[in-house]
Amino acid sequence: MCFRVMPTYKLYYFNRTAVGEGIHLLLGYGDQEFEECRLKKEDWPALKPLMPFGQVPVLEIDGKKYAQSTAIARYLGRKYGLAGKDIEEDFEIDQIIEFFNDIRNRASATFHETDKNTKARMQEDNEKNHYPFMLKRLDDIITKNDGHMALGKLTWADFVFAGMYDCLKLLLHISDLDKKYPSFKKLREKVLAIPEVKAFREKNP
Amino acid sequence: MPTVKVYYFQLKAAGESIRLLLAYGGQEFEDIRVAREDWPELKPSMPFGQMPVLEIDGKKYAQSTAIARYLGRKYGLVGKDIEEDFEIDQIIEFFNDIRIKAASVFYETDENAKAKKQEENEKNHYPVMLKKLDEIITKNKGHMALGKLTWADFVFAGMYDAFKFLLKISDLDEKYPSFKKLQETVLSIPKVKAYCDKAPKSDF
Repeated sequence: MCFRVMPTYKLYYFNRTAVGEGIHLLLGYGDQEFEECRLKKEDWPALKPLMPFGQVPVLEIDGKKYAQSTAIARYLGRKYGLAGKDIEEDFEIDQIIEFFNDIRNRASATFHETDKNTKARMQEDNEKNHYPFMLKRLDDIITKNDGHMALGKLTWADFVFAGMYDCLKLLLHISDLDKKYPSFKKLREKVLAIPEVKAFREKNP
Repeated sequence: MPTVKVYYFQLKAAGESIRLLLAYGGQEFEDIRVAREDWPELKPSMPFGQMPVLEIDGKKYAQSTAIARYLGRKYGLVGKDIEEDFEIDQIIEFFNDIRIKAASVFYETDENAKAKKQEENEKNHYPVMLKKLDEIITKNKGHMALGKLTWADFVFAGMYDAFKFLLKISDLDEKYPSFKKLQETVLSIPKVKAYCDKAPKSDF
């Protein structure tokens, strides 16, 4: 539950391991104090109508609510100097993030499919026709960018990737992902090793 | 003058916002509409093996929303600061959420699974999501964000007919009049209208 103190930043989420984690890591990097509002299922029905799109994560700053995880990550990225130097560079970040989200959405749709036969079919189609190409492309891009998502340097896209990585592995259902594409785990580790991020995570396990 | 090309299928859908934005920006471009049978040969030359792709002086830009945001920033169709830009990004991400949900039904090949997904969407998702979108457009004086024209309006206008098709809600225009009005707002901008009048026609 939320503490009674009134800080400027509040982050509402269920699980840190998916789309909320990138935001967490960004706030840590930005050395931003914030109130953690980890929601329990029983709290949600009362809070859902208060969220802009009836979803979380939501970042609240001075009472104003910000929703949609990628939009929030881009906003914090621009705030904390983790963006490009011009619109061409910002485009490179947006482009790889959109591609990454394509992979994530595909995997998520399969993972959340309730009908077992449909789910098996979707997974087979993904493994045969989509994941090999898409993941190799992502691997090539990270490798070409010196272990980063874009621009050969640290950007907010790296934080989105790092935050999402463990969840992505689960959604993809590819158990040897770390071995197949070593650049992925390396990128996550690179972000977690940033001193501000490391210190933040030690204080907020 | 840069050499600009747009590569997409013979559709509006995800590629149209780029064409509309370039028209708005007064940028001449080669409107390359690829036939399905020609696509396999072209695919390997595209950054992510997909279209739409925008090519400016030989440099390729992929991913439709990223391209739309780039052109939006180029043509002043953005917010005045990062808080305002966030508002645009937020509504676009929500709009894409609805579109992705509808598209997943469209791409489902098994007839039973398809019918089940459509039913689930119609019952549990579309009513809330579309009402929310309608409220936001209405609150923003007929725009997607900031009460004014932004690149988000172009994304919506370009995608709208495909969006209607994917949702399979035949009376969408009647249920949420703000939607079609917004599309008309964009398409009636003189430079945009001039492009549409001359462009090849497609249902979506």
